[in-house]
Amino acid sequence: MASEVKTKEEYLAPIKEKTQSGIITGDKVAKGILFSIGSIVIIIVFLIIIYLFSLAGGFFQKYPLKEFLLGDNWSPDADIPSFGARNIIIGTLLVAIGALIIAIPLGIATAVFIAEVAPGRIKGILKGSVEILAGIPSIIFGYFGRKILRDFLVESFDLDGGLCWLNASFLLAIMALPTIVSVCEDAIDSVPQSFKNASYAMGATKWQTISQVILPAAMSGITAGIILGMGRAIGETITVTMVAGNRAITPIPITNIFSEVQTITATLALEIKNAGTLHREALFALAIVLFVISLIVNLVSNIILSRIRKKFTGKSKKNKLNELLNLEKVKMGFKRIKNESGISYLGKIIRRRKGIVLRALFFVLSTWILNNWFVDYYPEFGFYYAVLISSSIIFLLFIFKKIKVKIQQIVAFAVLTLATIFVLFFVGLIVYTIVENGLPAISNPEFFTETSHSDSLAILDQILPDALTKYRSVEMGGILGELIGTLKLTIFSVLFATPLGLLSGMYLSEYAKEGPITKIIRLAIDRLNGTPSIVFGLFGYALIVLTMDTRSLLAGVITLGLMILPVIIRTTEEGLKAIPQSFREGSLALGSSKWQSIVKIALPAALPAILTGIILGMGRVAGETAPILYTSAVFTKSFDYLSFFSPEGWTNPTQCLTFHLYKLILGYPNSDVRAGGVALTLLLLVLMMYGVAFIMRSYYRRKKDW
Amino acid sequence: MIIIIKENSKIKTNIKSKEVLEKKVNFKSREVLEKKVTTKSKKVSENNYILKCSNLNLWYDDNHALKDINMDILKKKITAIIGPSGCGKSTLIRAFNRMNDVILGCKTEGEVLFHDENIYRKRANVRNIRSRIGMIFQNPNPFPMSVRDNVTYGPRVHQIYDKELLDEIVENCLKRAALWSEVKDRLGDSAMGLSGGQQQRLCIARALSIDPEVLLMDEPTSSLDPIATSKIEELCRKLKKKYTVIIVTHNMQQAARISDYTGFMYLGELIEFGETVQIFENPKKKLTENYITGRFG
Repeated sequence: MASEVKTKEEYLAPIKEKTQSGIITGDKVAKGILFSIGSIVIIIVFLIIIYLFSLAGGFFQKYPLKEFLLGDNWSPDADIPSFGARNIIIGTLLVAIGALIIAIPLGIATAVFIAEVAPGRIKGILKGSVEILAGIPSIIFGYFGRKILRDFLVESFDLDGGLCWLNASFLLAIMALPTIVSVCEDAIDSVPQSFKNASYAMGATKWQTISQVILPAAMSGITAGIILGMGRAIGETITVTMVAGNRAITPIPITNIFSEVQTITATLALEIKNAGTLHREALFALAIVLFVISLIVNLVSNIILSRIRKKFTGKSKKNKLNELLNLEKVKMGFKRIKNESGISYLGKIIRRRKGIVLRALFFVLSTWILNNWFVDYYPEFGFYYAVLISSSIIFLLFIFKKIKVKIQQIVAFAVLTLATIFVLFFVGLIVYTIVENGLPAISNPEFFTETSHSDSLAILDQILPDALTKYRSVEMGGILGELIGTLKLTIFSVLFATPLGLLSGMYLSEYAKEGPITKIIRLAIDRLNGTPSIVFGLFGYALIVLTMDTRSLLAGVITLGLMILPVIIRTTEEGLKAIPQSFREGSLALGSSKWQSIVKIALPAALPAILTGIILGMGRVAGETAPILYTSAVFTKSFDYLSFFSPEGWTNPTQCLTFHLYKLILGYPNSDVRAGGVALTLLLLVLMMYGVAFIMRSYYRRKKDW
Repeated sequence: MIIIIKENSKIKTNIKSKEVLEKKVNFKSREVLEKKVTTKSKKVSENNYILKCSNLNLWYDDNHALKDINMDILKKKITAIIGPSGCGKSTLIRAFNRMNDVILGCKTEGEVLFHDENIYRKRANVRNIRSRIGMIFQNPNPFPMSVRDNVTYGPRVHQIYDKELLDEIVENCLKRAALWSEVKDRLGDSAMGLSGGQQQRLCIARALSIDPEVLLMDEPTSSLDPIATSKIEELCRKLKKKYTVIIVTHNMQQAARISDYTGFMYLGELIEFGETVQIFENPKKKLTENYITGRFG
């Protein structure tokens, strides 16, 4: 016996020696590489932020900040240029608020319907439709807005333009819906069954359980969803540029939803190309304003979230910022001022009579808004109608509380169903519009095999603008060049971002120690993730295009790559974090190194999730317009097979589907057939990527046995 | 609710709110049921049974979880149900207030008579049944709201919005759940900040808030430490004066300590049911004896 054991030990000894020494050096090298790449990426993140600020910084030395923020005259091309951005900032806020007012009730209602009310099979269909909605590129929304929504608004409200605040807000609301719905649905799903059981055991109806237990318990998740949706609404560029009318005015009165408005993002997209130095710096300053707005939204939301969490869990997370700024003292000071001035007494009254105060506020606000709307149509009775409608809404809400709970439930579920049908209807309408308009073009196979003749047509357009008919769009040839351009941009940018993102995600998840620095890094990545895509475009333009003096594929690839970098980092990190620690421990207990257990155990298990994230990122890149507007895209360029792999291809601009569609819609009003074809191709391409990601995810979810 | 008022007559409450309380609590559907109860009250007082189940069978999909259960629950007594894990004790008491309806693929056959009325009859008012047969769950599950909102949830669900009335209910119920002295100064704080034992007593207060006749307790102390457990047990003994308590427990000592009647379940069948003293000292079935003496399996 003894000899047997001995031989075994002897047999293992050299292996042990070998692995031990090898492991240590290998692990160190791996860690070093990961660390350096992680830090490079993080430095890039900070560079982008610092660079943008430094570019804008020059502007404020030449132009007073107060004039910039409060002046109401934005005329950069005048003899004495004026950069009063007040109307633009107001426009940005109005469009975002309008979108939220539409999207929040619709989104929450749909999420509740999907999570709690819909029967199993319908649930799947609904979830799929929301995913489709998430995949539709913003340029397609713009196309839809100009094609369908504009006419609808003009006809039903007897307007002149139809490109207005309402149009933009509505489209942004639909675009923000998938974010809001999916995050809210997750939040509702994760409310423990025990809460529901407790509620049912008290004899509560399903609706009472939903409205009084589930929704409050899911409140922090719902708030997070709304904030994410708001981020999308504020940062959206192309749709807004196409449908908001683009006039830097404040609506008169401010509730005039049919007024044209201009947002910060639209201003950036429209003006950066022909801007002189000062103008360009002013635009960068605008980008900073955008940045600051989204930062404020984030900060406020963090405060709200921590308050909600405190309310529901009874414990608040220790807030380092509070300690740092010594907010407790400030709070005490406020309390003293409150007590001395009698505000606290007022606050007490308000809190006790919360219902009445809220109702009164709602009444005043809705009467004012409705009055503004009705005055134009019914000059004499407008005010009375407004009062009547707002008071009847309050009355109905009051009555709702008193009626039988079963009827309450029926009414509530009916409303939820209607909201969901409304959302479904729009998903269907958008897809239908695109398919209907696109079929004539793509039913011709040459549409995909021919390159465009847009060069000649652009020239023709200048000479004989009226002589061109609808047929022109067919004569413009196929879209092979655009298609390949889009594929090139997508594939190369993902190839550029994936290794960087993967390695830094691995570093963050496995090696980085939890501490203030890691926290700052995460914050920066999240900030970059929430940064509007046009800001990336601006960055790419300023850094690469201006230095190289030309738009290029390279600039586009880098810009898009940087844009999806944070997505990939976060997906990798979260994918790895989702792998149970016991897997790694099992591997480590066998004497393998950390690096080995990551590469051989954790990474393969997390790969499906990471790949899904990357493919979703590809879909997003393929549908993006704003970042490549001025970095790499051109409208007219005949496709050259040779340039595909040649070095010149990298320094030359490239065509792509999104930009082509953008130009067609804005510059070539008679190119309906072609625009439809491009839109459908784009939609199919993006949805295909989303479809692949979706199938992969469900396949691996089913396969996952732990 | 009337009981609550009687007991708390020591506390100064104005008479007006009492009247409102009585009026509001007797909402219509309940009135109808109560009438039925009073007409049959002689019969009830004769045999003193509040819940009676006969030939109760229950399936989860293909799994036959309850087999021909026949059991009569006496009024204002504590009935304990013991048995090994997975024997169907929790399923049984969930069947008493139709909480199994929530589970998909669950099928019930047979009768559960509550005041001689089958709760599984067609068109039974499930909400009403559940408001008269309260339930306390294995893990404390207060809602993530303030202590006050937790207790007032039940009344609010039954459309009682009067503030004074609600305040009164909060105080009464928390006192009966022996929690009032511990939380009276922080009624507005989140219930999630309470300790496990306090949370469970809050859940009991919550169940009492709609004045049920029966309290079902599904292993209420299994996640609590011994001190909290003894508090809950003491509470059960107090509650017995006004309510019928059915308690599922893993802990045989607990059953022996607090219950008047005990049922032993095994593999979905009720093996033996009788007075606690008899079950523990002189079990009739061999299986029961084996289980109680720990010689099992």
